[in-house]
Amino acid sequence: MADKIRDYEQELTRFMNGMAEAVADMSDEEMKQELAEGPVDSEQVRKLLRDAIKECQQRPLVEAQKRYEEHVAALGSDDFEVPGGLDEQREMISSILASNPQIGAGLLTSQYRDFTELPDEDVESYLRQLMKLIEAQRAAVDEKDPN
Amino acid sequence: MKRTGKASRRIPEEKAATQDEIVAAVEGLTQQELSRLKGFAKWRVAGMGRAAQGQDWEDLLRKAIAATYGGTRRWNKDAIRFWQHLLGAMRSISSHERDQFDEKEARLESDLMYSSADGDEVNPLATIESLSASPQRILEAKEKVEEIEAIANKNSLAWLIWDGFRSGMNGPEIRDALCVSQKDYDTAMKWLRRKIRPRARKDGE
Repeated sequence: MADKIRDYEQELTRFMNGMAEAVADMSDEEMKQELAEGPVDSEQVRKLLRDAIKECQQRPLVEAQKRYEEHVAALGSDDFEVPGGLDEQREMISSILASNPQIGAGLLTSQYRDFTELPDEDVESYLRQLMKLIEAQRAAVDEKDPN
Repeated sequence: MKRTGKASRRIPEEKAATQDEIVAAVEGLTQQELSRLKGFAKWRVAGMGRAAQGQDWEDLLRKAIAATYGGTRRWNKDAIRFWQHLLGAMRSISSHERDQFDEKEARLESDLMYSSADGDEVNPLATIESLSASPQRILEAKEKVEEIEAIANKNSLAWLIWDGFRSGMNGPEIRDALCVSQKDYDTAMKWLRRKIRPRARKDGE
């Protein structure tokens, strides 16, 4: 056949796919013979399948974690001055809530009905959310009554 | 009745296996079935050529099980066995990716085409391609084909099988056309499998 009209890539694809179909059509007996002559670590294949399923199961958790981290990073990038110590942060929350009780309550989940129950790692993020809300509320009031 | 388009080949949700059933099916695969999945995936990835873009058999199998578990490729457990479903998924994914790769290349080329002042269509890649990528692709494929032909040349039946596959025939068609027994055909296929190993093209190779 003249080189000009040969499509080598297509020929290769057709051949490789033909060989794949031959493997698909092999009986269990033939497969046993093949395995006896050239062992295959079939448990490695099962592990690959298991791991892929595990990855699918964990994907929503990984995505949620990523979203949470992005959210926390976004909160941390605001211009609020937040005290470094946990005790000071809790004190600041107390003082904000005392003067704006209706705001803070909305931010607390049913898991933490009282901010004192907030785990240490969530205190700063909660404080920043509070500050953002107050800022937003002030902006809304200013808009209504510019004087 | 008004037709809304092509009939869907998608398996209805009520017939699709649940995620628990899929997990159980993975645990139930026999050694032969697992080896078949690996062997099939290796040849299919080799058949993708450049469209494989560095993927290997594991990537293809991983995509098939992820699509099944995630519900984008449903398994009708009452109709086919699990390993058969995975083979079908791999067949479909590899063909789809190859088609997409070809389309993408064609689109890139057509995006660059323009009409000259004389109204002629100009393809700026025509000259570049002829100097670089395309000839290299053709050369790589030609070398592989020549490698296979040099091997198949040592076994007359294996040569005829190669010739049948590359012309677009499938196994039963080749057997019928050659009037060979199943046993002789299987022996020649086994010989080919041993002599020619599927190898996915990795990036940078």
